[in-house]
Amino acid sequence: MDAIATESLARKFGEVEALRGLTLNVKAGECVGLLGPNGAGKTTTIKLLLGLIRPTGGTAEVFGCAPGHPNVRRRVGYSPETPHFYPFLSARETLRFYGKLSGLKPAQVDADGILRQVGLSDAADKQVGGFSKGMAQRLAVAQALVGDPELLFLDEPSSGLDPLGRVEMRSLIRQLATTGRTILLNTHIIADVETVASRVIMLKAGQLAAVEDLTHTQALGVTAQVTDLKPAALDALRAWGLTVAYDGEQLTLAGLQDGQEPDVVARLVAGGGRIYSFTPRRVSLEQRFLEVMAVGGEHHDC
Amino acid sequence: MIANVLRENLRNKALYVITGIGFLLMMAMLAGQGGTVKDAAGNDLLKDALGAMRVGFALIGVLGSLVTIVLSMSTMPREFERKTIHLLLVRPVSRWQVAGSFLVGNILTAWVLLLVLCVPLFFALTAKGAPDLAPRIFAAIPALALNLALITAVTTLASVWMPAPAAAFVGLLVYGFAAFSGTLGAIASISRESWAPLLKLFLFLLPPTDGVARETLKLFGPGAGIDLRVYAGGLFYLWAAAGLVAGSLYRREV
Repeated sequence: MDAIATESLARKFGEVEALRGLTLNVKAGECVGLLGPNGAGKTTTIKLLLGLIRPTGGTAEVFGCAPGHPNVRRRVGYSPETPHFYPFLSARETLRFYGKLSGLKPAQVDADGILRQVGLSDAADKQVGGFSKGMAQRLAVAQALVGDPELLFLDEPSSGLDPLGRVEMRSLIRQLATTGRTILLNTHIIADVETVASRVIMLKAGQLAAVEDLTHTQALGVTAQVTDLKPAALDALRAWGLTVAYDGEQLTLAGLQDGQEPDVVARLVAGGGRIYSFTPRRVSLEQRFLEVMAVGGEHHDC
Repeated sequence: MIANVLRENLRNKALYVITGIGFLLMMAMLAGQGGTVKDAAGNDLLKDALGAMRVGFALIGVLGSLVTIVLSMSTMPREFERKTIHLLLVRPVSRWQVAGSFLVGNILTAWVLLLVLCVPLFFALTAKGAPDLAPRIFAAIPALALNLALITAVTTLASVWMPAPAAAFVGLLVYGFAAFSGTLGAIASISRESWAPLLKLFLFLLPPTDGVARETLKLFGPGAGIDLRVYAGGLFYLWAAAGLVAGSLYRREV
């Protein structure tokens, strides 16, 4: 079942097209990263999916309902990029306040447990007004967890955290992902996405630029100098699920599994290829992201 | 949520400054020998208790409205600006409830400060040797509270759609026009100009604060009966304005 499904989703602000025809699906239980430069439409996408703004075109569904529907809001948690809280409340009171808004009684909100989870146990009774940016960021994630939501929108959760805090936040998100929650992680930190997400959606200028399966993206790639390769050999490589680019001399392959290199070499030779060099390489998400942003990218699967 | 709005409003230092100055001014004018306020016939209103009450209520009307405009102009824009509204609207609570909580929080804050501003009235009655008029003050407080609630509602409504300074300007403008609605209404009713119907419509849209104030002052005048329909009209206007605040937040994108 899809936790999130959009079809040609679009949003204009005046003459500016912030989002253009975004079609994507996020399955229940998936942890998906949302990547893109500033102005790519990431925040607009999240706002549309939360029902905070309305689309000017297309449709969006969260758990099969319109975003912002009360039934959806009961199942969704949201951690904003720049969190602000009522400064006179303590961390515990803040969680109870948001719990109350979610229809929970104070006793039903496991404030201490959630604060322990995000590393704020010691600050449970401190007024939020005195929190550092990092502590506020942790509290933002904490309040998103109130009510045990099935779907989490995390907008730059590592923003403002020190290196150790980032590692802890990644670990927390990974832990949340293992509990079967669906997570849409919007971040500029590629390492965060690489570490915790199973799939990444790349946006560029309001459009879907690429959807990458991270196991695929992080798989082996090959750059080879090969001549005289017959088209049938290229088709055979594609049939193995590899991404193939060949200009008559340079062959680039992506998506190899570990140990598949000898089979590829055998196929190239069988296809008439004369191999002058064969260099395996790892394709990092950062490389892939830069490629996509440079050329406009391609849509692999969604 | 109402409690949080109230607590946050009460942290606003400007309120204490305005209320403090107003309190001292009223104490000096009403309970002390702080000057004279003459009516059209040249009589000093501050000489007797009834006159002092009339002046006191007029001052509370002005100061209270100023305080409530300062309060209401920024509550909603602040929520939009720091995006705390996002964390409220993603919860399974209706936008009507969120809007209502902000409005009620603002009104309650204004009422707390109204009670503070009413204290000099009691001192004035004691100073003028008429403590027996105290029950009339208690009777007048709900009417003053209604007027403050009306100005709060109008300013809050404006603040959903515009920045705080613009909302304050709208609040002041509405308060000013409403204060002179009696005079403007008289002009509109005798005028044969083409703009007269428009002026009547404009006056109809204003909160009936002038009418409520006039009826309330009858408590301190020579025995004319109070028209309760004016208060009913004020309550209806408040209800409609609250509905518009809720509807505006429902429509507004954040």
